[in-house]
Amino acid sequence: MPQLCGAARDPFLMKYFFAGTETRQYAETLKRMNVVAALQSYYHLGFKRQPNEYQFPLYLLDSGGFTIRERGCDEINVNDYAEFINRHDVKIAFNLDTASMEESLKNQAVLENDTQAKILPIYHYNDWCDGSDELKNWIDDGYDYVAIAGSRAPKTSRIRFYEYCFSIVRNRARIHGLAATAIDDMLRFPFYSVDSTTWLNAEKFGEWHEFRNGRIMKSKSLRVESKGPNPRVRDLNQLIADRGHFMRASITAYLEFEKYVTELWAQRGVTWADG
Amino acid sequence: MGGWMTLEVAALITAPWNYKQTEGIEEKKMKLREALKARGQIVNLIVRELPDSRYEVVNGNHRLEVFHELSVKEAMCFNLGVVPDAIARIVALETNELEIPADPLKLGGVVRSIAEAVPVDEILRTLPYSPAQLDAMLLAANFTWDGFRSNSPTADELEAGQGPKKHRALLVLDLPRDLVDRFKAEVKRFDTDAEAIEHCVTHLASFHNDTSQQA
Repeated sequence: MPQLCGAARDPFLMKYFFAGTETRQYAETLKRMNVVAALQSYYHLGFKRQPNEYQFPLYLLDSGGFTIRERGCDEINVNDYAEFINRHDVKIAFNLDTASMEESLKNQAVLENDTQAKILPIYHYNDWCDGSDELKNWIDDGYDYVAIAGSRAPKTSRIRFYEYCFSIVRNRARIHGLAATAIDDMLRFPFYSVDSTTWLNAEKFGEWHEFRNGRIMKSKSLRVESKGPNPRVRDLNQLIADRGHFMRASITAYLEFEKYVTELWAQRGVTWADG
Repeated sequence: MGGWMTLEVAALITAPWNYKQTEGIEEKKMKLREALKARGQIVNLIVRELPDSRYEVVNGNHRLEVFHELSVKEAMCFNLGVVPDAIARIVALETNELEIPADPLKLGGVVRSIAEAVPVDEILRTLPYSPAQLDAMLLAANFTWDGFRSNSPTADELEAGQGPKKHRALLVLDLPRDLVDRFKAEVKRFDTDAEAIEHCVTHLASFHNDTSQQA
């Protein structure tokens, strides 16, 4: 097991935003470990919940538009989302993205007009497939922080999509990789920030992660001890007892990885000044 | 008597208590095989003597498997002699798990220096890196923003983007049982949900009329 510790904050650190922090128990664990960057979803929080209850210094609010598209139910009213952002004085939020770029652009305009927050536009893999030039337009218009969403695309296409995005944006703006959990992608592309729920795999699958030699090593799932026709399931009580430790180990791994990625890109001449 | 010795591979058996993973390691075993083929045995096995004149492998069980695959007859071993289970296991952990972590940046530098002299395919044949990991380490030497290609989508990617966007929808309809059965039968005729729905919507009126008349 790796040593469990929090990370001292470097203002030039690549930022790994721990997503899935709407659950208070998870947010408390992160807070105890001095994690400073968290992402929450407006959709998961609900209109009445207070965002960023644990006051993470670096905080991003996602609309949850993607979740809704995935589930094919509910909808988010852009005016409600704007009101929520204003009521809680959220500083940085993602646009309410939809399957239609036209509609997303309208939402972007509403949120920019009706709130004081920095609204990050989102360029999707499908937008690229559709031949949309919006990413280029945003950069030309002076956006200095944009989000790209391609993590669900097949790997080869995802790499081509990221290549396109970084060739357009270069060092003119900071890029947030939405759910950009693939370690190789972070080593290959200089994301300013990413978010992921992978650290919650301890809770979901009973597995834990460890940072070793520049990689995040994943343990075998500890939920099942043996495979085959009659798999032996690990003692549930022990699993419950251990999962907190696994989660803390995984958090430590991602904090160490965050530092490593920063150093790696610094070697390549890329640094991220906070802005 | 223990110590350094050359033993017949046929006299070696794997330790039943070996705790290393056995599944999902095919690629690593392939690299191990390639390395043994290229350079022969460099690292010795560690064994202990069993009462039946055979030797249990304390460290090197996967290498032993590869020796069998490559029909290697003899292996250089360090024989612990006759030692209790606990000592054998302690030695296994001491020799397997006391791994000093690498400095990832210095490690990347070493890999890049290798890549200057050895083709990438050759590196990937034996070193424990995937092509993507190797890419990431090699990129450090020559990163430029111009290295990112301004790709246009391929035909397949264009098709993925221009095709109808898929949405999952849950419809709750209050319909007569007969109509539902008829609907289910109709849906089975089509390959995709979209085709089935389009057909049923187009013919909804006739379904309803048919069902009413039957009633």
